[in-house]
Amino acid sequence: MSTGFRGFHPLTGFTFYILIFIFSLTATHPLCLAAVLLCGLFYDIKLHGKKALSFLIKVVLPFMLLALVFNGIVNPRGETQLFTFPWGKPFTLESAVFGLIFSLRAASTLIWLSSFNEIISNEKIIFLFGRLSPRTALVISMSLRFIPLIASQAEEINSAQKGIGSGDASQSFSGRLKSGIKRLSILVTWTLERGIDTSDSMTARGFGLRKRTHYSRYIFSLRDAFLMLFSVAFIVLFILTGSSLSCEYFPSISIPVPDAFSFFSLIFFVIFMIFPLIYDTAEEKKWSNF
Amino acid sequence: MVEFLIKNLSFSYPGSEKYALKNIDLTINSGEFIVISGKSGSGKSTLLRMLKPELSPKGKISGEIYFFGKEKDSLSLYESAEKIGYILQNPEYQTVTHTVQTELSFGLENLGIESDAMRLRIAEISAYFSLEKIMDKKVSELSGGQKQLLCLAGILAMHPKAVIFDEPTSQLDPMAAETFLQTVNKLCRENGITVIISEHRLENIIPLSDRLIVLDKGKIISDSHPKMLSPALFRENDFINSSMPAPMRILSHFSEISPLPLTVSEGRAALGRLLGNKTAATEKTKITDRKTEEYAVEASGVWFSYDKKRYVLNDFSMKIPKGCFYALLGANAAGKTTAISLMSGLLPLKTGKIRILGQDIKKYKTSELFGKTVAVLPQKCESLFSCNTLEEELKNAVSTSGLSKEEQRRRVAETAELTEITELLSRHPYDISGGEMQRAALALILLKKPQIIFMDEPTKGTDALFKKKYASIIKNLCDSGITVIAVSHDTEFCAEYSDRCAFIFDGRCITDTEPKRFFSENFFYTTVSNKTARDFFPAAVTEREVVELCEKSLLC
Repeated sequence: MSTGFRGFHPLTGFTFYILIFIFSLTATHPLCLAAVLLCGLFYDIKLHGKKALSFLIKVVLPFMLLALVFNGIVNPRGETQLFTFPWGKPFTLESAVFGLIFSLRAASTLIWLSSFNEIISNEKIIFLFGRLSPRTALVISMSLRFIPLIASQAEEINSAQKGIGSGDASQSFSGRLKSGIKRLSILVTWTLERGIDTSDSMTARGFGLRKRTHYSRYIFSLRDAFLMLFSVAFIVLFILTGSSLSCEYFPSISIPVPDAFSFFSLIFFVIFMIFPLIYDTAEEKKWSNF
Repeated sequence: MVEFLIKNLSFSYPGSEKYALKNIDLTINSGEFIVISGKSGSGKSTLLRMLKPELSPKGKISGEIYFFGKEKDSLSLYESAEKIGYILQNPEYQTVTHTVQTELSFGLENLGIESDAMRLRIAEISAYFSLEKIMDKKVSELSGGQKQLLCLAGILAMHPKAVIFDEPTSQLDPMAAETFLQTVNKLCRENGITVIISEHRLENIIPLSDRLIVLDKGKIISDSHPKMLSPALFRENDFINSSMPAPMRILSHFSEISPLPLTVSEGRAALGRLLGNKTAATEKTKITDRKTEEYAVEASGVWFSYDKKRYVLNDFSMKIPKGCFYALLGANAAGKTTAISLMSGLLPLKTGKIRILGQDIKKYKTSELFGKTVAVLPQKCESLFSCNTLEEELKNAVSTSGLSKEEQRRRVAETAELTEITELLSRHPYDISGGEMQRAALALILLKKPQIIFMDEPTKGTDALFKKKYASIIKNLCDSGITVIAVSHDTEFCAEYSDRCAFIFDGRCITDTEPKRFFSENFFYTTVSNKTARDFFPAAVTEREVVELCEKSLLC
């Protein structure tokens, strides 16, 4: 079992991320968005190191820019016209500001997705599906086995065909097409043939006799219960007190200054969001003394 | 306790008059280790499948089968799934899910075992097979041997009484096969699980077994402890004569030896008893150095790496004379397959020089090199066939050659004759045995008239009879001037039939000599015949040589 935040029960981890995503997709206050973005970025850097920065520069920033420009161009709403495009549509201050908010939102979602991928592995997703429908979980698992197998078979066929001098790259187009079709047909035949063995092996192990149960290595422990409880507490607290953190951009911009309550709940939420970072760091320290 | 009881069982496949099994009577007791052998098509697989009701073929059946004292019809599918495990040939195809853990739990989930009970069973089996470290690994990242062990572990977690193995090691390399069989043996001896196993390679498994059952044309022709196998059968049945472990084969020629020795040490002791101190002087091996040789392939100073970390080949050099059968031996990952991939041009040459028939490999056009000059017979011949019959396949291969229709037909017929597949031409490529498929693949290659043929493990998963036939085909090819280069793990095959053997170690060719000298100078990496008879005839490498020398010694 992995240490750190990764080691939490899939359900806990999944709930955590769902809450983060809901928050980042619905938040309107720049302060909230900045908080989500920064917390996400810190954790991503913790997980991926330099790669996180290159992800930020190569993917997130261009995406933000695109969102900004696109929103400015296509969104004519808002009261304060700054100028008019040559094609007659107005460019408003409100749409520019909203563009900025929108791009922040997109950026924070992307960054959190990057750490989500790292923490919530395929295994965990299959596990979560397995609870809902064991059959779906099995199908996913079988496909994940099947895909690399097909890929390696295709590679073998290509090399085998090359080795007997069939279909090389210097041939005419029709020749290459023909050999491509041949390779595909070999792959299909081989796969069907393989399928017979696979189904025999499944039958031999009693597949389809009864309703399947589902095994998992994950155990819902006390710390999961605590984290779940806190997640729910935070969200409830935030809904109750965060009313002054909602902003409007159309037709005119209104960004309220958060009151004491809202500010308090925002800080709470920040603590919630940096929990994985704190937990991982603490664990690293704890287990590095041996 | 009787686990399986078969009474007068006969079976024929639908649409076939021929009996696949005929008048089989068999009792299998709990905890026995039973080897079922016979040449391909003798009914081994059919018999094994009869012992696993879910997989039993449909057809005309008479006689009775009892499982654990119950008649076939009163055995529930649940019981059958739980109590009888079945392992197939190819671990690649019988692993169903994507991680080690899901594969282990697959059977248990099917049986509807509750979560806590399942956790215990998986814990237990992981400890037994030391799987903890690879629990989270993807199945696709495991080696063939690991996959097959995983299949076995998954079945054992279901707590079977008996496990049936249908040629479980035919797709594994010798080391992995050995490990697998040792595990199977341990299960039988320590846990009393009944083992019923069919194998091509009998060398390693026969010494482990309690009973050897030999099938021929659907009938049981012998059922005894392997030591008690009748010497007469060695003379009458060519399968037994060529497939049993070398010590058995050697000493079956001398009727005074009974029971037959199964292992090298038993064989050596038996030879000692047979010969006393009469040992005929062995002639010194004459090394004939052919001086004016032309080379089919010359490699010098070749370096190669797949991952920029480790050299697979370093300063690799090799000279392969024209028209010879050249064998590359060596351990796993020594660089054998990489070497032939480079020499055949399948992998790009980066550092070093390779000359094919005297010309730099880089100067060949792809269309000139592959097919007409070199051809590579892949390990998995399935990757060559796309048509519905072999004949169609061969005709297709020759259709681009620009020959007249009549000429083409003659070429196909000739090649089929040469590779002895004429009677298989109307069959589907997947409906023939592994050995036959090898020959069909060879035919396909030969139609392009290559000068040099590379083979990757041509004898993998094939029986001794096939090897004999295949070797004679290779001999014919070599006589007609074609060079055959094979990577092989099969020491007996190389000793008996190859012209030269090269030993690859650590990315280099360590030695390169004639097989007789090669094997007689080695201590561990040599044939079983040589290991058995070394004290008496150090230079004898093959069974034939040992037997001849024994006979000579007994005469004097």
